[in-house]
Amino acid sequence: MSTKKQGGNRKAPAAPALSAFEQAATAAGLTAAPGKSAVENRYRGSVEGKTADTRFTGSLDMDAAFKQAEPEANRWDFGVGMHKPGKQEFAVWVEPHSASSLGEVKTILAKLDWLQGKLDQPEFRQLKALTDACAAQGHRRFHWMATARVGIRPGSREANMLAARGLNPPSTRVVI
Amino acid sequence: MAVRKSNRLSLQQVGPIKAADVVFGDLTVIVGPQATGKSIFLQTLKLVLDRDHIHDTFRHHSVSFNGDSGAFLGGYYGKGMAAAWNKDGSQLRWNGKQATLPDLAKPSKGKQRQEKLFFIPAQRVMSLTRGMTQNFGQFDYGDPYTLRYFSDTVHDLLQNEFGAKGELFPQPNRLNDTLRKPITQHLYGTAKLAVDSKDFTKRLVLNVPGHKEGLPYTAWSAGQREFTPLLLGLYWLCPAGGTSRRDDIEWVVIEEPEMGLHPQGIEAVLLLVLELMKRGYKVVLSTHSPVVLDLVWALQEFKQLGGTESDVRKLLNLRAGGYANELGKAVLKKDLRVYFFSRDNEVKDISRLSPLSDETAEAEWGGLVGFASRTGQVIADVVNRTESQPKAKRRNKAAKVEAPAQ
Repeated sequence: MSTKKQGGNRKAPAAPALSAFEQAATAAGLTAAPGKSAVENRYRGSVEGKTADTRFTGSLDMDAAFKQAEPEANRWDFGVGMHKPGKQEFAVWVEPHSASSLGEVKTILAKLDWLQGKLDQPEFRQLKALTDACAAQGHRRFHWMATARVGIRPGSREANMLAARGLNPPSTRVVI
Repeated sequence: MAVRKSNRLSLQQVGPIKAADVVFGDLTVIVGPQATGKSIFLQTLKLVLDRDHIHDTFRHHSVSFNGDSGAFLGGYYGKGMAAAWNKDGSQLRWNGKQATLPDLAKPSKGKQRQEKLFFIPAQRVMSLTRGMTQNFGQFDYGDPYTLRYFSDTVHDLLQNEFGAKGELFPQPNRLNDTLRKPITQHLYGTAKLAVDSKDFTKRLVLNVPGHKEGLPYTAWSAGQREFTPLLLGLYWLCPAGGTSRRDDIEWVVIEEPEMGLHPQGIEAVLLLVLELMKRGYKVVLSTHSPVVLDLVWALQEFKQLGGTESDVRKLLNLRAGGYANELGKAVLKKDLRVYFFSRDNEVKDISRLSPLSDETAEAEWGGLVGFASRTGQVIADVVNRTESQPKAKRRNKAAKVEAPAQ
């Protein structure tokens, strides 16, 4: 029996083209992981597409990427690239964090400041454009994923502080 | 350990209620839009518990229905309300036992004829007219029984128990100082609630420092007018001296305790509700105030997460001390429940009140924080949209808004 592989003299298939998210990550000096895999395992399943044909085009663990350089900063956790058929690719940003008090809201807003500061830097221009594309398609760009069972009451000072920065109160799932 | 028996009232197809199956806790709160049957439900609870006391009261006041159940139901719930019961579709069960409103419209021969449930109705402000209390007979057929009886109780309290006293609030032997302080601070200020017996008529007035004459009822704030009959009802439930509660009364229903009050005033009233629970009453509230549910939510979370009496005190803004510590400990042992009444749907148990719930009724607390929630979402939408636009475009838009009209 021949062990020669069928079509062994064919050319290796070309590497799939990098997604816009992956290219944007590279431009920012970061390495995107495939699909949602940069998102910590226990939270990964809670980041979902509203429809089954939503594709995850790459992800970033911002917290890990900047831990050494900025150990004391309030670092945002994850960025995820998404694509829906017939639409422009976009980026959403997810921060799993306990949701319990005014103190937590302030921490989240500090993390948001940090992330937006990054997105304003020239090397993050492409990631910023993908983030803006998210809003242009009517989706929230930044999401606080609740990791504790306590929530924030709508209409409370905490909820209003979040709204003023474009965030919804924390939820257990991020469905885009 | 003794197992605490839960009480359960189930109604089907009664007035606007499609189906309600409510298991009562030590504190039960019902919420829902107008005309969803909350009042009918609470009045029915009173009727199943106090059937014979109600019949005896009507008889005592020479009101006879001659065995006409429709006339009784109109006299009890309010004129025209007999139609709420449909003999083909309506159902009522109390603790699993079936009954009908027409059955309850007739007295039984039972020996238990004492009142078990004290009802403070939403229309309580009508129990005081120009500062004077009204007795049962001063109302008409078709005025709800719960209003007539509450008014009569307050009348009796004022005419007899408090008749000789000038000042009703503050009173050193009524309610703990911890409870009196917020009432002073948020409801009466420096004024003192008093009985003015001039002209052979007992009228409630507010004595304001520096004023020779007491401020008449019509000049009070709406909140003071609403709160005063509630306070008198609570005085009745919390007798002076060493008696902690009325012996026969087990239940207290308060409809819309928040009526006319600023949220800080509502907090003061909620302390009184907790006091009733501490004294062992089962309390049932109907409310349109998210402040009431804020309290329930917090207590539910404390119980789940191992919160302590000091967390309760912090929530209620109470300093550590014998009474406040006891109150905090007592309420953490209580069973709290919340039900949502809506049109055309079954009544829902939303006791967890979790803003993280996938059920909108629970996450938005039966619609009480629905508008606040939508406000936050729409503001966040606008922030999102604006921030994703180029800065120059944003500046132009802002400049247009700020520019005066030419």
